[in-house]
Amino acid sequence: MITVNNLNRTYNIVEGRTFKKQVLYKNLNLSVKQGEFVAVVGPSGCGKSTLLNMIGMLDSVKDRDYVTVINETSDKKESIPTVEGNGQIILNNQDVTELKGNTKSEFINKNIGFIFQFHHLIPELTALQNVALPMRIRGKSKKEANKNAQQLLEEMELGEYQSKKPAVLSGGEKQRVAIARSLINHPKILLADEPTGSLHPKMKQDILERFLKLNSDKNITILMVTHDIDSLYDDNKQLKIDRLISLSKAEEEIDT
Amino acid sequence: MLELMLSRYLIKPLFSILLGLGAIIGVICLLVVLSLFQNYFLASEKVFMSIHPHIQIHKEMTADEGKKIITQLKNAFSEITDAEPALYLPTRIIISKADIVEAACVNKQNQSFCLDMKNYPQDDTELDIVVKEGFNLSEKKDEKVLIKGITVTDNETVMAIKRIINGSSNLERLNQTQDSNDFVLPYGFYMEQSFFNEISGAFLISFPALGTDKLNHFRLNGGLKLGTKRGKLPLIVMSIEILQTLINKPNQLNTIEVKLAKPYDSAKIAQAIQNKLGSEFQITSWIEKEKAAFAFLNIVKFMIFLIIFSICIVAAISVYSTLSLAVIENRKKISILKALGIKDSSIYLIFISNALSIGMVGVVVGGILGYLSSHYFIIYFGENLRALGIENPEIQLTQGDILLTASATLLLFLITAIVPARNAIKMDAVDNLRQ
Repeated sequence: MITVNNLNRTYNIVEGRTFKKQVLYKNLNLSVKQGEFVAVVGPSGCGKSTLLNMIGMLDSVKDRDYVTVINETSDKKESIPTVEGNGQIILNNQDVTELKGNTKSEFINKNIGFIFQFHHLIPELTALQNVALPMRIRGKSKKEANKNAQQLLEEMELGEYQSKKPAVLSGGEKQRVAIARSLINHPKILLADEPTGSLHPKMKQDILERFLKLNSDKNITILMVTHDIDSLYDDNKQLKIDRLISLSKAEEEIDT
Repeated sequence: MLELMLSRYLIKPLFSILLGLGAIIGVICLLVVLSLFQNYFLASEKVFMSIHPHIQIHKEMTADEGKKIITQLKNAFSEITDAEPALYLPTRIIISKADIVEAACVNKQNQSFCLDMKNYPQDDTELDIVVKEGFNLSEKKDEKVLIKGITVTDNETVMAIKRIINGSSNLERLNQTQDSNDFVLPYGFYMEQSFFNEISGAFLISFPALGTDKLNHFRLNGGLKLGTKRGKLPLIVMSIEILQTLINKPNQLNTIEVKLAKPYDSAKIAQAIQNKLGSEFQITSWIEKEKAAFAFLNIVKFMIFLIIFSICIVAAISVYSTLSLAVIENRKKISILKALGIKDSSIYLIFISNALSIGMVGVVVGGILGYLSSHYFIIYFGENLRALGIENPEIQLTQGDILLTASATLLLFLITAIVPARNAIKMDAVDNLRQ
């Protein structure tokens, strides 16, 4: 379902007359099967969220953000990308590295559900409107989107909060609204970037349980970035999810 | 429509209201300025068409030669609706206002010795008293003028002179020298109103440049309102036959006046006539005659365009900065929408629909208020406009003007919304979601 082939990412950090190359990934490969629940763990700065953003097509795999620097050897101006990268990401048998514009947007809308640490709900919209939003973006009618959103909110035990705006909801409630929103288009892949990071410990367990239930009931492939490894184990020290992928921080830093 | 709903949340209502107000004010200014300019243009055009035929053909010729040329032209050019002979004469005249008073002559043999009846001793009956009308001369002027001796047929002339007459528009009076009882009538004439500030009355005119001191009795039929238009010489219009008689050149003419169906085609047709008649004829169109005035009008038009363009630039900057601010303020929300898979075209639509809605409000409300303001402006500043030569000012807004204003406003809002929308599409969603 998710395949990452030879993914490379290097940051060219320009500092005065020099720039420093900071390697994030070097030939990163990973594969997640249909229906798997995989957690990506690792220290801060190892690129967990970046990996998720690249898979979710919010971040580009290719070179970007060019700056002009003067090559001291040749004394000529050169244009270099501050973010250097290449590789291939395949989602649901589709090479998404080449997708652009509306095709890319449509692919995200239909196939990927995103859940963020800080829920990222639109504050001016009610819980119902927030949940219905991806379906409205897909072009479905307001009536149909609202009906589905209402159903999902009820599944998330938030039926009575549908007309409330995010500001009056608790952290856990907001995150449940965000989960409902990510599910409304029946995505095949759910990408969760530290979904329990900002929650009260009691709520963390609740959210994780919901993910497990979604994974088992709806066979949704889940790739979750988390710091909280303990919550992934049950009382018998057994992993609740299918797999853990551990990323380490790249040591390589080259001064140029 | 989702994009319209989202635009309401992404762009602060206060900004939209301020932009809407800007659009309304812009459209009002545009329509008022356009209406005023149109008034001024039409007033000038009216005067130009009234004092010039659409085309004038100059050459000294006899009446028979003139007739031949007229027939030839009418046959050759279907655009010509009328062509008549005329005699244009720039000459020095001595003109006096001549108020008619009753006078008595005390001696039949010497009638020139007349006294005012009121001062004459009533009881002296032995004198032979003859009562006559006489002239009380005042405001004598000795000036060079342009006399146009024109043909009047069925109360119409080639020049649209009727449109600027202040007084009697009975043009046939120019041809009359006797009344229905065969009594001699003074010659009828029209005169540029600013020359004597009169629209009627008796005048005595002599033509010393033509070698005669004879005083001729004229009756002013009306004044010609030229507004701010000033020719090189004051204009006097009379019948061609009378002018020919006065200067003792019967059957002599020097001009053929031509009227066209489409006055603005005059330059093209004048050229064609020139080609046909040859270089011995001097042919000019009314547009060429008023080249300087049209150049001035074009400068005014250009200045108006500059003012309108400045308004547009200010409006464009306002729309651009407001929408850019909205993009910056809402970068997180836009990034969320991108993470949910919103299409680039929808992001464009969010900003463009907002800008177009504001533009539409500006066009509709501004259009109505602009129309009413033009009306109010014309009533309130009517006197000032008349002083500028704009007689009977009225709202001069055509459907085309309103359509042009509406299209320009909407296009402006559309164009200025594109760049902020593009910035919204290009923004880095990851960076914004991290904040």
